[in-house]
Parts: sequence; structure tokens; C-alpha cells
Amino acid sequence: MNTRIPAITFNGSVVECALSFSIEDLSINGSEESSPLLSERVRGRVQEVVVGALRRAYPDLAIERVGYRLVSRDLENLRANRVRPDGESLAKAISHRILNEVAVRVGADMQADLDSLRERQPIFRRVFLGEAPRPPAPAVERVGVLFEERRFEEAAGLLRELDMESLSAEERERVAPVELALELRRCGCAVPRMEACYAAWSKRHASEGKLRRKGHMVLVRALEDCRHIHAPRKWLRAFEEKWPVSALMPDERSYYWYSKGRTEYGRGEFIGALELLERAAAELPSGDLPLLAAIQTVAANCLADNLLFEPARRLAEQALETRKRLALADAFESQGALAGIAFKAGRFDEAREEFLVYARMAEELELGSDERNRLRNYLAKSAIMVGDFDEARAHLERAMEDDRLGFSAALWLLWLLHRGEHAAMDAFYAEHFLLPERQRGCDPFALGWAYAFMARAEFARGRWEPGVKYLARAVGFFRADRYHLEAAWLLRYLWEYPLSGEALSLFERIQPVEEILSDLEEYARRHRDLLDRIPTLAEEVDVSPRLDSLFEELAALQSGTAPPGGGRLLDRICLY
Amino acid sequence: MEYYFDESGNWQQPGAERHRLVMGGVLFRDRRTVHRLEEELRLFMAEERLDRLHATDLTAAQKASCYEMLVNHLVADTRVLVHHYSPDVLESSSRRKVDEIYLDKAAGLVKVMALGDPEVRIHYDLKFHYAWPANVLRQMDRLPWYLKKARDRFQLKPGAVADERDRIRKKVDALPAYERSRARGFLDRLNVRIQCDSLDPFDSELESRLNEAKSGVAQALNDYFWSELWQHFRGQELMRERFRDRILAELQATESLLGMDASLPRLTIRFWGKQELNAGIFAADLACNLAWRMLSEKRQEYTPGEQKLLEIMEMEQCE
Repeated sequence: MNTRIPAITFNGSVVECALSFSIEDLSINGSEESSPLLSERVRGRVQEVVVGALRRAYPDLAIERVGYRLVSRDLENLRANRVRPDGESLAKAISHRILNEVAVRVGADMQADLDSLRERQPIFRRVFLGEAPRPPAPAVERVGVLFEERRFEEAAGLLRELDMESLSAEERERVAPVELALELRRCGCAVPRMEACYAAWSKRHASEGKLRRKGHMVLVRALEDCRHIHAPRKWLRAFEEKWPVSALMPDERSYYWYSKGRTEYGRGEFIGALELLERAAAELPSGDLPLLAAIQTVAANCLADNLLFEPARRLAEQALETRKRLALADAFESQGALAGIAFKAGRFDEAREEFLVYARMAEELELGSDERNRLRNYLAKSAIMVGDFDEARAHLERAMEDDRLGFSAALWLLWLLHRGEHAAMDAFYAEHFLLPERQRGCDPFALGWAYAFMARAEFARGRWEPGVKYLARAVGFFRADRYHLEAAWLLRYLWEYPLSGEALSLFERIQPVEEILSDLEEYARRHRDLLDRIPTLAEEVDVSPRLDSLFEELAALQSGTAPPGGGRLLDRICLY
Repeated sequence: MEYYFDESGNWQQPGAERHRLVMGGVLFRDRRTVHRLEEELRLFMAEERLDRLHATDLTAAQKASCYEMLVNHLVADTRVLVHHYSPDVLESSSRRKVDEIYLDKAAGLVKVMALGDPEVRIHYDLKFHYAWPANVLRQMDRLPWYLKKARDRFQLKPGAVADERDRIRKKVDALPAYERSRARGFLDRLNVRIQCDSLDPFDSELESRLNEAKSGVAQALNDYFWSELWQHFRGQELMRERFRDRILAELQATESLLGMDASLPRLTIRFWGKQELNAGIFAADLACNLAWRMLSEKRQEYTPGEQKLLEIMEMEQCE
């Protein structure tokens, strides 16, 4: 509903603006609004008007203050444009809306007069004053614990036994997000089903602002877990449109930054991700160690993806230690990050040990099909890199059962490549990747590696032209998804195999090498000071700019001035 | 009302600024205040024997006097607003894009300051980089006929050839690798050499061959020179129109966003050169310079004038 109020712009001009806002979490004698959108004076005036009116309606009730949350995109916009609404008019509009809300909640008409409010005193007592907060029922507590321990079936069973209607608002706030998360898990990453599921849940809790915000974040998290490319960002935007950041409680705000950071990380936007994670850490309410550990884990992944292995390892270790100490089931996620860091740093024996610990931790948990797939992929690739092909095959066979995005199929090619079974690779590629419809559901990252492995197989057989065609496609997949590091890393094969001049110029025609290197140079420049962006999260450590070294090594290879022999960064890291 | 703008930090080269990019505006509701400040500044320039005023060129003592003068004129109806950005906003290495980003940020700042004002008069110390080398090279063959005619009749003075060659070569060398490879043809023209070992001193055509090579280089320089001039001119005119359109679009969008019943203002924009004295722009220059130092330098010691200005000005971190 729009209200028009006078306002003053930066240069002192008086204008009239439209203002739309809503009132959430209304309570009597509850916590007072603390939104920075309102000045002390306006807040005081609102209390004065509303409490005065309610005291007149219910003189025998002890009404001290009114608690509410003001949600308004328009007020945010006014502030962003340095337009100051007239305080008295704003206070009047808010008071009016709160009294309307009270009237509706006690079953009277909007803009009810004092008499009709007075008639509904018993309802007012029940709605606003009747329920003292009580400790949650043991079953409610248990549902939360089971969910956190990732015992989803048990949590769902207990949830079915609960009578939602009889739960208090606080209890619903604990149980309903779990209910939604469990429903979303059952959707099997089908985005339309997940969205429909959330819409139905949201409708059931239409009047509960905080709960709906929690539910919205549960949906974003579920979409991120499915590695969906666009949906998490889309739903975060929807969240921002509905609830301005300033309207969030401190704990919600921190979780929101974390969630946004995680989404950006998922899209390979490391700078944005780290800045958001830093914000989440800086605004974290003290004592929220589980969220801090979650933030540290994602930040560790961001750093590792930019070759900052040492600070990444430190962060992942801190997160793991916290999660173990608090006996959180999510500890396995930090363990996975630690193993992944060792793998990327090319320490394959260590990575294998860490992945085995990760697998043992995961054994006790109920994993979804994507998580199961990820676990087996990790085990398989670490086994391949240490030459344990039988075990790798066993893991891959099981991983293929849940291979929704093509990662396991790509690793199967890697397995065949390491065994030198090039003809078998052709057949496997034809079956799993050749046709466009087979590629459709695949993640571009998985496709990029599948093509890169095929290129290596062709090069190994001295078939230069088909090889560079595969390589150019691989680079194309990475560049299209802005994986500049991976795209440039693949260029090494052009110079490490004795390719023919025709093959090289064929590659150059499809993917100009200068452009790829120039992208990497720019990428290295932009990502040089990643650690400076997260002063709260990371300790100050002296790290050499590895991205720059990588660029220099590749540029030297291109110009033919590369020093021969080992010890190169290129050979010491593994990006798949 | 009168609005004056300037910026601080390296807005020209993506990646060159290590700290913050700053952009600021000063609003004087009364034009007479600017005139009074300008008179005082002229006197100061005469006393100090300065031929132009720019914060980065002044000594610490001169700067302190200027801050003092400025804050004495910042009366109650004057407002100073500074926006500052992470250098990452210039994330692309394309200079054309840098201009666009700058324009967006500048229009955003003007919009906040001028919203609701029916008569907006903007004074801007605005530098556009339309004549960045890759653009100059690309437009070399697309000059209008009257400039081509002037170019073909123009000759660089002998002494200027070497200087111009160094200047232009430095600019082209600084281009990103990809652009540099596109400029190879031009560089070949500039770097023309006659192989010494193939020279026969008794060759009757030697002198004419040497002259030909020299005139080829001079022609290449000439081509660049005129294209550069045209891009400067075109950039300024084009950008003025674009800037105007962008500000009006910003104002319109914001008025509609805030549901304001306002009509678009009468808008005039005047760009000022560094050599011209404009007290309002100098005020914006001082404010931006101070903001940049505050955000970028560890040592935080201020003169009383600077301290006062810091209290007056409003700063906002933008994305």
C-alpha cells in the first residue's frame, strides 16, 4: 500500500515521495524495532502514538511498548538517494499501519475505531499477551538435532508425528525450516519441483516474516547444493527485493552474506565471494561458531581455487577443529575441503589419506545422491593419481549411479587415460559426451575436463589435429564459464607435445592464445590481493603471487623461453 | 543551483590505483559565495606566484592556506558529498569501458546531489580518455574529409619528429598484448629501418631511399597525431552529450523509483580545463584530495582547515 509523504532532498528541495512498507513480527511488549531506517525521533513518536492508542483501547492492560519490524524497499531507496522523509509524517504513517495490523490480528476491520478494538479485548489478550515464551517441546528439539546430525529419515519420521497446528510460533520457527529442507531433498534437484515445494511451504507460513526468510535461505542453500547455475542467484535476488538487508536481524544478516558468498563462490566469482564472506564474518554475532566454521570452509575453497594453498589449509583446519569440537556433522565438509586443498596442491598421497578420513566421517551420515556422487568422485580421482586403479574403478562404478552432472564420466576418462586405454576412451566418449543431448545436463566444468582428457589421449597417439580440436573445445567450455585459470592451464599441452604447425595454427584459429593469456594476466592482477580482502578471516601470511608465476610460466612456454626441467608450478598443481 | 565536481585517485589506468577511487561534489546554493572564494583565490595565486591551482601541485603550507580559505566560505547552505569506490570498479582493461564506468559513477553522484532541483548548473573538471591509443589507431582511416585534407598538408617540424615518435611509441607499447598485436601494422610503419649491411654507399638511389623511409615514418606519426586530435575533440563533445543524457536518465529513473511528482530539470553542463580557475571546482578538488588521503594514507594528521572540512563533508562508500 502506498502512502505519500513530504521529504527533503540533498540540496534542500522539498518533494513528495511514495512510500510503501510493511510491518512484520508485530508484538506487544516485545523487542522494539531497531531498524537503522528509522531515526530515534521517529521510533519514539511511533511508540508514543501506538502505545497511547492501545492504552486508551485497553486501559486495564499493562502495555509498555510495541515490537515490530519495518520492511521497506522505498525507505532504503530514499536513504540511498539521500532523501530525508519528513519525520512526523513518517511516524504517523507507520503508527497508522501498526494499528491497522493490530486490528486485523484481533479480527476487526482495518482502521477500526477504539470501540471495536475494545470489544475484542479477549482476542487481543490471546494473540498478543497470552503466550509467554516456553521452552520448546522435546520432540521439537529432537527434530532439529536429528537434522543437524544428518539423520534425515529419522527427522522426517518424527516430524510426521508432530501436530504443526499445536506448536507455538517459536517451535514452528525451529521445525518448519527443517520440514522444508527435508521436502527439498526429496525433489532430487529438479528446480521447478523445488520451487513449487517452496511456494507451497511459503503459503503455509505467509504471515511469519522471520520464518519465511529462513525458509527462503533454506531454498537457496538447497539450490546451491545442486550446483544449479542460475537458480541460487535468482532466489537471492528475490530475497533482496522482498527483504532489504537493513530489515534483517544481525544473525540473519550474517547468514545472508554467507549464503550470498557461497553462491558467488559456486559461480567462480572469488573476489565477490570473499568480500561477502568477510562481511559475514565481520557481522557475525559472537558465539555463532557453527556459522563461522561454515564461512571459513567456503573461504578456504575460494583461496585454494586461486592457488593460495597454505592460508586455505589453515582456514579449513580451523573450521574442522571447531566443527569437531562442537560435534557437528558438517565437519565432514571441512575435511573434504582439506583433502581437496592437498589434491589441488598436487600432494596426492596426502590427499588420498585425507579423502579416506572424509569417507569414514561420511559413512555415519545420510548423504543425498549428489553428495554420495561427490564423495565417490573424490575417492576415485585420488586413487587414480596414486595409481590404485582397481580401487578407483570400484568407486567410479558406484559414482556413475548418481552422476547427474557428468563429473564421474569425466573422471572415468581420466582413469582410462592413466591406464593408457585410448581406444576405450573413444568408445566411452562416444557413449557419454558425443551427442549434444548427452551434454545438455552436464556441468561445463566437467565437460571441459572430459574434453581435455580426450585431447591428451589424442596427443598421446600422435594425432595432433583431433587433439587440438578437443583441446580447443575444452578451453572453450572453461572460457565460456570464466574459468580463466583452467583455460590457460590447458595451454601447456600445446607446447609440451611436439604438435605440428598446422595443428597449432588450427588451435589459434579457434582459441587465440594471446587472448587466453591476456585473460589470465588480467585475472592474476585482479586476484593478487585476495588475502587483503579478508582481514577478519585470514591471518596475515606472506604468500608469493602464484597466479602471476603461473602466467609467467605459460608466457615463457609460449615464447619458447621456458627453462626445461621440473620444479614448475604448472606441474605441481592439479586443477581437476 | 550550482554544482562543482572533481575526482581523485587514478581513474585513467585500470589496475594502477592501489587504494580508493574518489569522486566528489560541492553544492553552493548561492553563486556569490563562489565569486567571493574565487576573488580570494586569485589574490592568493598572485601572492604565491602560481599560474594554476591544483591540490596535488601545492606545497603543504599552500594547501593548508587553501583549506583554511575554503572552510571559511563553506557556509551553512553549502554541502559537500564524496563517493569513494574500490579500484575494482575499473575491472576491465578496456579504456573505452573506463570512460563509461566513470560516466556512470559521475552521473550517479550528480543525481544524488541535484535531485529535486528545477535548475541544475553543473561545472565539471572532467577528463575523458576517448583518445586512448587503440582507439586512435582504429579511427586513423576514418577521419572526416576536412581533417584528412589538413593532415595531408601538415608537416611536423623536424625537431618534433623524434619527440613525437618516442611519445607515440611509448603509448602503443603500453597497450595490452592483444591490442598491441593488432597495432603491428602501425608499429612496422613507425619502426621502418634500412638494413645497414645491404647499403651500398655508391648506390645512386641511396639518398632517395633514406628520404622515403624518413617520410614514411613522418607520415605514420602524422596519421596518429591527427587521429588523436580528432578523438580528443570527438570524445569531449560526445561525452558531454552522453553525460547529459545519463544524468537526465538517472534523475528520471530515481524520480520514478521514489514516486516523486517532479518534472526534469533545466540542465547545463560546463567542462573546465585544468588551466582555468574555477573556485567551485577547486573546492571539489580539495575535498577529493583530502578524502583520498584519508582513505589511503596511514598517517592521519590534519591541519585545522582539513579537520573542519572533514567535519563538513559527507562521505559514502559506493559499489
